[in-house]
Amino acid sequence: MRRPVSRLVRPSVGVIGQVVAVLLIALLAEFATSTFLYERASSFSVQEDEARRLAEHLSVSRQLLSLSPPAERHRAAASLTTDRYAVRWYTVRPPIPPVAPSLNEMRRQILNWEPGLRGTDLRLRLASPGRRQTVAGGLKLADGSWLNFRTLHPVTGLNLFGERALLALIPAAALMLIGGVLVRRQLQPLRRLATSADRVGKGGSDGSGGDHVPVEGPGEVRRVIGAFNRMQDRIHRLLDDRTQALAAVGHDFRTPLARLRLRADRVDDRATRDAIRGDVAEMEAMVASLLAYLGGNEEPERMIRTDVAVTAATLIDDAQDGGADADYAGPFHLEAQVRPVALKRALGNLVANATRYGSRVTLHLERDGDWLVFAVEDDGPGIAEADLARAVEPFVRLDAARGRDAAGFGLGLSIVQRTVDAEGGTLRLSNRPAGGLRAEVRLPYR
Amino acid sequence: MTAPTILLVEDDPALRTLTARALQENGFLVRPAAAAPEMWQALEAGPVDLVLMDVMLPGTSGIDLCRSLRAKSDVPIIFVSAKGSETDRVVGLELGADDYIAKPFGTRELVARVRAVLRRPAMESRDGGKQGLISFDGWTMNLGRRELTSPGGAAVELTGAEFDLLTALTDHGGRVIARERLIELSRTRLGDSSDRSVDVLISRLRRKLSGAGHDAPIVTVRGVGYMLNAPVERS
Repeated sequence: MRRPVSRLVRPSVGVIGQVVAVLLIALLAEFATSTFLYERASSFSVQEDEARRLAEHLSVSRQLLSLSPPAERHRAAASLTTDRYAVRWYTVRPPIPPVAPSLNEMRRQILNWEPGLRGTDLRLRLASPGRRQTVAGGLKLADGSWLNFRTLHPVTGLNLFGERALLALIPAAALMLIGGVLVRRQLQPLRRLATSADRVGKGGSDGSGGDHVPVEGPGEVRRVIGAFNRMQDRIHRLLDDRTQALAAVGHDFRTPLARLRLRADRVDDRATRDAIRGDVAEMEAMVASLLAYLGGNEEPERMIRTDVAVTAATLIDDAQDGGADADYAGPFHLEAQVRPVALKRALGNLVANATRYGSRVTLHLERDGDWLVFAVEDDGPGIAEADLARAVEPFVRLDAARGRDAAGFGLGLSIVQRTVDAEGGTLRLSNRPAGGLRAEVRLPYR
Repeated sequence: MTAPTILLVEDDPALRTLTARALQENGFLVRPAAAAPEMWQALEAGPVDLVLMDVMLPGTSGIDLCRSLRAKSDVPIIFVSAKGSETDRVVGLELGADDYIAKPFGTRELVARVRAVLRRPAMESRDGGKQGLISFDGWTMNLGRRELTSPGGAAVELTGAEFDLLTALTDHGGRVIARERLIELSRTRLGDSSDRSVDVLISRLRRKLSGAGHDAPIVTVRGVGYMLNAPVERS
């Protein structure tokens, strides 16, 4: 049994780890924003009268509480509580909330108005920052006990709306930004995987297997990529094995065919001899088309500047020599960059189909702007509209529609389609209004 | 005149026997060999006029064998291959093989090819002419690859018969070749694939060799034959 996973998965932070990291970074951003906001709070100033009113209330409260005996002070503090300020008395300093911005500027305003409050260790804090702009604070009485207060209404002038918005937006924006970047980074390998998966089976550049996707990203993704790469290897091995096996079978077929062909020459009965020769020729045509179809992984032919008009005319000459009523309609010369062997095979297949099903065949050639247009027309029965699309599929023979004498595996049009696809061209089959089939190949003119 | 001796290198015993018999019945002496070592032995045993060799022999590839044979001898070589791909054909011809037969082949085609190669002018094969280029009127023929290139540098496809006919015309550049001689030349080459008359082949060649605005340099000499009306250069 193979245990390849451990080999491929280098230690890495899993998706969960990365999500935790994203959240942590977002929290840090929020914390940093809050800290910044609190620092700024010390420079907030409030409206003068607001500061003045608080200063006076504090001053009066301090004096009243100082004059009251300690036993009375709780009650006195309660009576000093108005609908504007809450006042309390403590023997010790109440704990200061851990994070609460101090309001240094407001404190300065108060002390300016009531200089008597200097030396009372006046502390001002923004209560529940960012939500309601209420102020809490305390000051020390002469005997060391504490007077605590809190505004019950929002302090006007302490406009924290912008800051509140900032406080909410910055962490959110940071979260989105960082999260987005991280998730994108995480998904990058997956995206490559998808691209690569799309390419599998489309014939590698050298037939030795497709591109391996680099194993990276979070642990889970690495395992997927590793598994994909191994699957890709297996698929390519299967395809290669199959192609090689069939090609070998094809080659090995030809030796017995050659024996049979030579033996046929020794048959005295002319009819039998010709029949055997015909059979051998048909089998050879099948082997050739199979090899042409499977040969897709061979090294691609080079593009060569070729007189395609002569190539087309030669095909028609060959068809005429074979006894067909064939014509070439096009210029005497037309030079273009093509892969001549592939082009000849594709056009040859179309001409062979046409001569098989029709009695008159015309091969047209013209240049249409950036396209080379080859069209093979016959006067045969054509193809039922419903079958036109199916006709180019490999191993499909539309015998019912086109007579049972079809030779080969039904690969002729598939080979044409594949050749045309490789060049970025198109193959279009259509029934001619006058009857018969028109097979049009358009190739980019280069 | 003694019958030409053909060294037949083929690993399939039955096909070897059948091929040998087909050749013998057509007047050739055949020395069969199953693989490379036997081929070298057979070559030492006596002079050979032609080697007919299967490309896909066990042990050594026919391509390598052809290369080492060519290094030692100018004996004409015909490749037999089951691959039949264009690349193989070109590689074989470039390595110095004189012709190429694809499996399966018939007796008539085999004998025609063998005769055609044996009949080629000695100078063509001995002077390295096979690898050579022939040029006339801007056109270039690569005899090794059996390719024709137009004055504009484009590959121009000819059938085997047309190429041979053009080769025959260039061999006699500036001189008239009798129609009968051309028929004979093209017959041996064509085997059973076509019985087209030389006149048809000439008219096709003319069409393919016609340039922009001027005719192909092939003239008809009425009642005699044809002539390539252009200086021929070999390199």
